[in-house]
Amino acid sequence: MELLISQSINGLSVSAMLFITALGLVIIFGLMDVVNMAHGEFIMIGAYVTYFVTTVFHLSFFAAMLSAFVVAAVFGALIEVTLIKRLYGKVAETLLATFALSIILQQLVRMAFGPEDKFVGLPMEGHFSLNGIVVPYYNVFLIVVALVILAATLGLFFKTSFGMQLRAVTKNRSISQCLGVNTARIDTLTFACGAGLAGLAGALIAPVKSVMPLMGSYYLVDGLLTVVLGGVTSIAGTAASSVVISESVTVMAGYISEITAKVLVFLIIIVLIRFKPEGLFTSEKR
Amino acid sequence: MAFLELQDVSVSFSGFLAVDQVSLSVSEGETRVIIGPNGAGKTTIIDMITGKTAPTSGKILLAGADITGLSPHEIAGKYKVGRKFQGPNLFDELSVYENIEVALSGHSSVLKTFLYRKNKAIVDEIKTILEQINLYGKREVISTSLSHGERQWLEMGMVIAQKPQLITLDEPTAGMTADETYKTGEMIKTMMKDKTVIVVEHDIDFVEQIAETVTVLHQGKLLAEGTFAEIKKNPKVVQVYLKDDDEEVA
Amino acid sequence: MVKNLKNIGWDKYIDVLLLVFLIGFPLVGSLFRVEMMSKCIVYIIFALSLDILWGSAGLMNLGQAIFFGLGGYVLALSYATRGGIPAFMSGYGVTEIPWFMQILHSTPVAVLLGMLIPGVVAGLLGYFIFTSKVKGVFFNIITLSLASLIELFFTNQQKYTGGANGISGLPPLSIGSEPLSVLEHYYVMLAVGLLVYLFCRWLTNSRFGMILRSVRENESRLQFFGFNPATFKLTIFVISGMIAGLAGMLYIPIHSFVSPGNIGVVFSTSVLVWLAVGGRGNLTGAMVGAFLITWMESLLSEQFADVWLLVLGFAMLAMVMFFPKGLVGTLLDWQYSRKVDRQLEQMHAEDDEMGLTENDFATAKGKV
Repeated sequence: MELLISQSINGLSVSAMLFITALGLVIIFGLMDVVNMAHGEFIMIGAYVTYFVTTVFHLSFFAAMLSAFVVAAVFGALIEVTLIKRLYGKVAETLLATFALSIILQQLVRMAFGPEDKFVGLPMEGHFSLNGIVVPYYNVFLIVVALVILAATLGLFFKTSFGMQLRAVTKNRSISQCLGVNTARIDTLTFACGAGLAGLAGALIAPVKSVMPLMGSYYLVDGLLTVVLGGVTSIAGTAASSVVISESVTVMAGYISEITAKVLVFLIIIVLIRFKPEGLFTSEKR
Repeated sequence: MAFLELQDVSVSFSGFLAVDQVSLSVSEGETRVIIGPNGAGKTTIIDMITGKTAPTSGKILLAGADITGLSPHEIAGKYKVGRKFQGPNLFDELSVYENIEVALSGHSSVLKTFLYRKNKAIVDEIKTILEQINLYGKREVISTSLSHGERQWLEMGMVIAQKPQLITLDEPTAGMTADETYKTGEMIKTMMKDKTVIVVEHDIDFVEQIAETVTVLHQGKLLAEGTFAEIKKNPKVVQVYLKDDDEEVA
Repeated sequence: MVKNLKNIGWDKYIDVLLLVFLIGFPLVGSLFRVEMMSKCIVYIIFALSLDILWGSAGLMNLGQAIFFGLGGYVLALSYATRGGIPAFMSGYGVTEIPWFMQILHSTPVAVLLGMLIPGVVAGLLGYFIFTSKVKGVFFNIITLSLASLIELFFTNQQKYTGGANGISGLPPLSIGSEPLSVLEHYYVMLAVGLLVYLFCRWLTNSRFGMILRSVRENESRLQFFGFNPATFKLTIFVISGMIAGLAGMLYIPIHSFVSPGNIGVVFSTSVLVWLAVGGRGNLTGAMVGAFLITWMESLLSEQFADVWLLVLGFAMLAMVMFFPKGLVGTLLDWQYSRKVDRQLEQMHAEDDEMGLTENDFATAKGKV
């Protein structure tokens, strides 16, 4: 029972991390219908930026978060303009192109900075105990940041004119175009935003995970599963499915190996989407 | 007895009633034309007969069998209902010949596709169909290279190859020139002579060319039914169409 | 009327050339290169297994190595556990070989299961994906996720799979107790490869293959002709999985070891690259892609391992952006457009006599 409780509490910070790392992928997939196979590499870029800002230039962690977001977003915008824009509507080609991009980025980083782990220190030390369960402050910080990002993204989409244009483009591209929405600019901004969020995620996980060229592939798969379970169009669904996936994996991992737990969750997801194809947390639409 | 019968069929999409308690009865060998202004529910009726949309309530009977809510492949395969879509809907990267060959009836289970042999009877059958739709000379061409009218004809040929007992045609002349439209009408008359055919159409001249009985739908409801001459004089129909025209002008 | 131009596609010539080259290769290649070429033939079979799935039915499986690896591991475990408990098992306190490995001791059972297990996995996975109403791209997502998870899973299950090190020291093929020579081995591989190729040709030329292409082009339309697309996708997914499993088994006696690298994402990516470069849907492209890239890889990556992956990434990107149909696909398109041109000229000449206008058939030229 105690194990169950401590694992559930651990699961919350794991959920926060999963939500943060998956969000960029969901935004790009849900709104642009592009599966960005290089998503993990944008996370990696964010993590490397963080390493340079904090460990090499000794600047604050918040500066690292900001620069990770900006660098990844600018890079994403470049990729969108040069590659993705030419491939809209071609699902297989987009997948392959971003797949190729992920290989290229991995190798470039590996050649430039070496294959070994880079170390990023925790921005805040210490922990508190709750009935004997140790909770590091940084985990609490992650949960808070995840909630802030969730609120900010929802605000961006539902309270700003950019969000309104974006939703209009998703609903009906050609009519939005006729009404004077610059759809090309919206596409670029959306992709940049998704990439930026991935970069930010890289910054946030850098202190607790290994920073290395191949780190991205791990987050891509977890993100994709979150999308499948949460439904592609809903940010709140992503948040909910992050919690469901992470909590079930973490709790199960108290009793069986984490990988086996993950495989089980994956199998459950496959069976679930057979009966609820639009994802667990979205209402059915015509 | 009616060959196709719709009994009080309704369908609603998240609260919007697209088809409202429509009953329709088509006898064997009849060519029935369904007309009505935009949004009248014509295509939705075809969707329900062919299994694309399941009715919210009501029943659909074909030759006495209940086909309500069956999947499209069951209705097409087992009950032999063919459909021509609005705007040509083909297998783009396949050649004209292959498009017809895919549609051939009786070879549609996985096992049967493995056992299929292209014998002389099949070759002749495909050739006859290709000649009827004037595309024998272009049989090796990939279907995306055809003109719009040719693509429409190819799809008609595919429906014929399916050997259906009921044919549904959704605006078969959409986007055609007057000449092509007339040819299409003659095609329907000759190729589908003994079949039961349901046509959704806008073009009034074309309706006159092929119709035996005309059904008029308006806002999901059945408005009138009768011969073309009767319908033309029906004041309710005239009003609906005139009103519609006014709106378009305004 | 237009004469039926009995043009044989250039892909068939390339197939024959490739076969002649492979038959004659041992005459010119060193034993070392012949062994390398044996591996290349296995990769060609693996590439064919994906082409009948992705090229024909449009199902881009991002985890094709799952089936390759399953086949490989089944045969590897069969060999490894015959002489008692192998070191990687006893190291984790396994004192008895579990029943599901004991049944593998008979080679025919192992070979059968090496194809059946990938087939069953494909069948179950396909059943849940294809009979669901999920969008097409979910197939890619699910297969990629499974490849990644199964790689981790096999790395994690040290006591049954040897973990990250895999299972090594596996014997070459033998007849009785006499192991085959490198040359004999090579021709066995070539014979199996030829059989697989002929099977795939028969499959794609059959009506079944034509329906698969229709699934690729317009799945929803096909239903209205009485076909159930799900059963076709399921069937080809199972067949593709079984052939990939076969390739995985053939790999074992050549490579003499199997590791999680053979079942995971990276290897799945490799086969995607082969098809992206060579082209899909005509079998030839898959074989040419597999042949060219694995051959170049074995020549170049010995010295430039890092650069090689980079080159591969850029090659893939360039093909997707500029030649999405791949080398062979682009070649065949060019041949097709020349053929249509010639037919049009003929029609033109005949129609001039009949006084028809040019517009009647100009439309046929649009396709390239």
